[in-house]
Amino acid sequence: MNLVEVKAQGQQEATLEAERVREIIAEKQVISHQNVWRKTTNIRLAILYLLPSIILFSVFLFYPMFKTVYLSFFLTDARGAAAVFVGLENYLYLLQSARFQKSMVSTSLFVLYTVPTSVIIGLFLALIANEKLRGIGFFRTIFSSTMGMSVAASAVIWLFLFHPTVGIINNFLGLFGIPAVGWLLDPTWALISIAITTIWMNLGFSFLIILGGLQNIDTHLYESANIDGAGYFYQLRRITVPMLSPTLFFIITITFINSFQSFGQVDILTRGGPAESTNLIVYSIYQDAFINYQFGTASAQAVILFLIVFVLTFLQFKFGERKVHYQ
Amino acid sequence: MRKRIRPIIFYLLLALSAILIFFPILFAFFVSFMNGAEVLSRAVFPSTFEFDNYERVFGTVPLMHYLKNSFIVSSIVMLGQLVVCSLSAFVFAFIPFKGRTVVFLIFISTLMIPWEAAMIPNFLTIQSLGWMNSYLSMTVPFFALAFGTFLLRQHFKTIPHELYEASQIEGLSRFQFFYKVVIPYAKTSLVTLGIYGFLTTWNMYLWPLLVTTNDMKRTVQIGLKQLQTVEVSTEWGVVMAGVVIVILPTLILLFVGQKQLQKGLTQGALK
Amino acid sequence: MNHIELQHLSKSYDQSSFAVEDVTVSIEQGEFFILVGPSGCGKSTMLRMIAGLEKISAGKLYIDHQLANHLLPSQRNLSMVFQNYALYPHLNVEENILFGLKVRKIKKTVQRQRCEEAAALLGLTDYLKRKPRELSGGQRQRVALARAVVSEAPICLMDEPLSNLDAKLRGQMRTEIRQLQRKLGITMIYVTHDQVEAMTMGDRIMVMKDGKVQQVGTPLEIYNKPKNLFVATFIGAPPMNIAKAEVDRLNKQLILKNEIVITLTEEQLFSLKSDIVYIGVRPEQMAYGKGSNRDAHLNVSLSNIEVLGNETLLAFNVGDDIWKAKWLGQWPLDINKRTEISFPKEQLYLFDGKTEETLFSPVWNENVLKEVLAGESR
Repeated sequence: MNLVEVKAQGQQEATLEAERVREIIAEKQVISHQNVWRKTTNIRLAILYLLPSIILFSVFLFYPMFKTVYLSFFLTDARGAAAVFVGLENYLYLLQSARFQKSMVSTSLFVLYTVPTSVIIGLFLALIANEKLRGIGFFRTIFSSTMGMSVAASAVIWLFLFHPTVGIINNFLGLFGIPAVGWLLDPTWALISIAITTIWMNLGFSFLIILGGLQNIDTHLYESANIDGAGYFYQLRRITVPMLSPTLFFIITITFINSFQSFGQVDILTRGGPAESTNLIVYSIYQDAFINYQFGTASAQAVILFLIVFVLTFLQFKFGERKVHYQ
Repeated sequence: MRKRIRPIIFYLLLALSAILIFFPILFAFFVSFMNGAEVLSRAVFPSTFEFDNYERVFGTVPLMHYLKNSFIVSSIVMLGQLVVCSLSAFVFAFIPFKGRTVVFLIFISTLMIPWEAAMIPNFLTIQSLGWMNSYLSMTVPFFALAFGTFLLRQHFKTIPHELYEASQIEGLSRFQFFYKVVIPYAKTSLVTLGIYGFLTTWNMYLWPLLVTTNDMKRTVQIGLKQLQTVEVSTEWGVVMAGVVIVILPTLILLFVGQKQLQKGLTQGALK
Repeated sequence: MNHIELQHLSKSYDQSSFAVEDVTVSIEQGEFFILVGPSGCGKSTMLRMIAGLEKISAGKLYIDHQLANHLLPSQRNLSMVFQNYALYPHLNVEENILFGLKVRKIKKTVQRQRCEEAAALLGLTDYLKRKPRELSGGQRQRVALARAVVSEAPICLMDEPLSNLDAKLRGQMRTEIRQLQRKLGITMIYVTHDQVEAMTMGDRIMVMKDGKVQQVGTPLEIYNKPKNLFVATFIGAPPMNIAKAEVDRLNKQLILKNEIVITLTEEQLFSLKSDIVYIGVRPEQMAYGKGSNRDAHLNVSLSNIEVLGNETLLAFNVGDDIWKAKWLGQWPLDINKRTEISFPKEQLYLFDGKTEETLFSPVWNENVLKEVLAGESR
């Protein structure tokens, strides 16, 4: 008998067995005379408990998301009601609009400035705060402190630090003979200023998450590496970073998404200026919708934002999940 | 030799990083005690620690009102999230039914929708509900939270299944099991979610900006923006006094709950 | 009086194979009934069907002569002790013990009284205010038992309750549980994979394998008259020695692999239907030396010797199988030296080569033994 035949026979036996099982069950099962009410306990209970979430998600997330897509195909009146169907006109308009192009470029640059820096500094902080030293708890608390800082408070503080007359950053740079920088006034520096503020705000969160990831790594790995005589940086490269990859992947995605959603720092520090150099996408949506009452184009931009975040989150699930289980 | 140098290097790095990171906060604290002249002279330390600026900030904007509003809104959101999320997390951990995976996937999918992308229709909804300038608009939409549901579900799942079975044999109803066993068991992750919810709501900026138009219902974050526009040219000391008052509650909360938060967030994020 | 009755009870999770198949048994009031078998044999599934934690796919379950298939767990009037004890970590010992009573809204004074009694019974009086995590494994186990005791349920189900304890404690708790059950007169259904627990605790044992009942009987019945090869090897430690043998009907003998020959009695030969059989010998039946001519003897080289103080385990190869002999006393023999070992032929078990059913087993009659003992004590 060859392998195929053996396999076929095995399958046949399995189906015969399944048939026998079903027959016996059909013959000997005791049918409950309880009513449908008790049989559906689980589903009724589940619906009851899930209802608040489902309603809220429907009303404040799914419905508005569809509505956003819908509105993006219309010109709207000042109250936000759809007036004229224009198809993809809003999108075409956006793609041709120099303002939107500039906004996309600024947003991309902004993301490029903030994401790698936030994660690398966060990783550095987590690494030095993961040492077993006396008083390390104090440093951990300090490092995580920016997580408690609101956008508004952070932006106001940095507004002061960047200030052309009273700001002390230029003062500090002057100590090293570096000429004063027009932080919020110069179009190139304005975006960098906002990025610096954002990175600072991100640090607390990325530090906390990466530190958590570090503490999840099995210390036996380091012990055996120590016995093998591996140095600090060798261990960092060969153990820490590979073992930390799911955490890093997660924090990169989160920081990415957060960067795309930045609003408060722009509103307080630059209001999108100078020369629209800091008109990031959410700020642009806000202006179109709530200042200029262009709900159609604002919605089209919101749809684009959604697509970007959607793809990023999807990638996180797709690639993050597998690596995470590996841990 | 190397053994002795190593901690010194790390202490140096730690101290330097700590100064750089904490400087803006510390500096804001210092400036809040400075008078106009000191600010203009770009001093780093105030000459005196007097509370003039703090007294004045309450006169400049209705900060007490804002603090009260923020406190109410954050507390309501925190409680709402705990109730709504723990209910749904309980289903995903303990009540199996056909199609649960699908519902779970729908919950996951909400993570893919940025709040800002849904904000325009939401604003219109709030208007038509007549919820403008109301606590409702700043609280109710945030009760359901996929992240919170996962965080709690993750912890609920660590409850040994035997506890559930034992409770069945002892005749507990599902709801009794939920509040007598699951809730006390998962206390720590509820605290984590509570801190997280309070922090994020307290720090919310864009949404309160949209749905509040009068001082009676504004939150502290909008207050800061106001303060900064009103006072910008002259009184930085007063502005910073406002900043310090606004960040104090969240910083204290963070310092107290830092360990909890770190453990909880890492768990929720990575498992 | 029968208390729990199972009629053709079956469980299938996927509608295409049975996890438990066609179990029919009746358990008496006050009986200590043991379900034993290797992991995955369906014993826990059986217990959980009786508890109502698992739906019954087919067959009937009677508790107190009432059809109980669709009763909720709490309606079945039973208590259950779990492997991981299932203690509520946020409650102290007292609250844990009284948890079920509180749910059933039993009077405060009664609660107090029952808790005190149970705590005294299990030696927990000093620990009532502690949290489970402050207790040792054995103490946690006692709390779980106390919870079953205070419920005053006439049936108690236990699912491998001792498997998380160390060997010494396990021995101690075996005795305690058995004494407790006798004292309270409850009907106990006890799941274990440990044949020692099964042998020492049970009034009756049900041996299961692959979802099917292999044998039900008293511990001695199962030990002395196993129904098949599986039961014979599962019960007893070290397990029964087994080897395949060919039947040589002409010369009335069995031929083993390395040309060991065992002559058979007429009776033994008569019981053999097929030409291939398994022979089985309990390790304790092995003796040192050639023995008399009524014994079968083997000339073997020892592969391992474990001297345990009061007894010695010797291992040697018979064909491809490793056999063991268990002798009382200390036998520091030379390894790899050829040794003569023998066993009485009438102690031989014979199993069918195909069906693995027992064909022949040594004479054993419990009643005779009892009479002899009774006569002696008189």
